[in-house]
Amino acid sequence: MTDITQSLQDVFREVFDDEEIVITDDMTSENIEEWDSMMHINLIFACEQKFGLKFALAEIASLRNVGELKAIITSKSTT
Amino acid sequence: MSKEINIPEIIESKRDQYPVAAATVERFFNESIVLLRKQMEFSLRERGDYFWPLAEKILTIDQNLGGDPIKALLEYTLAFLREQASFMKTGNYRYDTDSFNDAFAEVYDNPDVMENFYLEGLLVTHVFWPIHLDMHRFFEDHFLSAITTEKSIGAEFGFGHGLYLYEILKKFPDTYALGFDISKYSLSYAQRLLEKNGIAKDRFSLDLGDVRQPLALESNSLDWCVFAEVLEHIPNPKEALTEISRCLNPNGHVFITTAINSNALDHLWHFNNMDEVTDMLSSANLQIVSSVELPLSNYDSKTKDPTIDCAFVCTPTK
Ligand SMILES: C[S@@+](CC[C@H](N)C(=O)[O-])C[C@H]1O[C@@H](n2cnc3c(N)ncnc32)[C@H](O)[C@@H]1O
Repeated sequence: MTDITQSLQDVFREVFDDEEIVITDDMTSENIEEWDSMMHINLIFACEQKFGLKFALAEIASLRNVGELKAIITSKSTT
Repeated sequence: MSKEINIPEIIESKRDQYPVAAATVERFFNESIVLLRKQMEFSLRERGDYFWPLAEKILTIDQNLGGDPIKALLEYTLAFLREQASFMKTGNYRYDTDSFNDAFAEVYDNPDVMENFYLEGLLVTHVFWPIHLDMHRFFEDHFLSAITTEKSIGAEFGFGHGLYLYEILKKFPDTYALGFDISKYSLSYAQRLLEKNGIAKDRFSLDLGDVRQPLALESNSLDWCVFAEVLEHIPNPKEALTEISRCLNPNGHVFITTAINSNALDHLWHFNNMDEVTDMLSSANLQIVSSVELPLSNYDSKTKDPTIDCAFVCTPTK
């Protein structure tokens, strides 16, 4: 597991308050029942904090799955 | 158990009858992968009969104003969720009752907020937020039906986008409407909304006005009032309600809505439960004729968001 994947998994476990969550790239809000609008924002906030970056509105709205979230974090962390 | 729904199929089946709504809802589902998606699925599944005609009406109004509804919706929703997430952590609203002037400077007097997304965003939440959709249904079923069709005169305080004024003026060709709002951006937006959507200029008069002050209207002079989503924005909601009760004639009706445990960019009065609202109404000389309580959990059973919206039709006790 890469560092980002590991940290992101920690974020998911904390936000959804579930130590069992194992993230995969194709995981979507369909796979986690609690993943609604508010949890989405909490997830984004937690990522912003953990990785020290800011998401744009379009990024927040159009995120399709965990893989895309990881890709955004990776690209923002390297620039 | 929730039924499965096929969104592209539903949109296709509505395209002939509700073309503006179908195109905009399609855009919504393309652009928003998570935000409001479960709530919109709820509306399409559970509120279809009411959803589509209302969506066509409101989104046509928006189109006539040259709007960009999905962008405004998502920006408004995101700003709202940010504040609500912070409330859920701290228990505090963004402002308190001493800081109305800050809310005025940062929101009502700020074109980057009002013109950029707030007014249009709030307008289209009546389509895309099921809680506001249900509020609108209550407005039609319980308030519009209470207005007499004879020549009447009424007022909305804090009209924002102006949708409620539009609905009333459209339904009752003999009514005349006054409107007061503290924001010059609300004033120009609502003015345009009414004019571009076929309401004759001589049927309404909109002005700047501050409901924290006594209303410059005679007692018993109004047949109807709308006071929607303003109570939680002002430091003295009870006084404002008392003023509205004074201005209504004894047979008049007022439509009132507010939000409980719900923070936003500009909220400063925190209602903790429905009783606090109903107590305030009765202590402000208002009698409840009908009411509805809409917890967000109605639309998303897993949500931890404690928001409750509520709406009332009241008459004055004189
Ligand atoms: C949340 S919006 C409500 C718009 C509309 N009534 C609705 O329910 O969707 C609040 C509106 O109240 C206005 N407002 C806030 N404080 C006010 C005050 N003290 N006097 C008059 N209007 C006020 C704002 O400018 C804004 O347009």
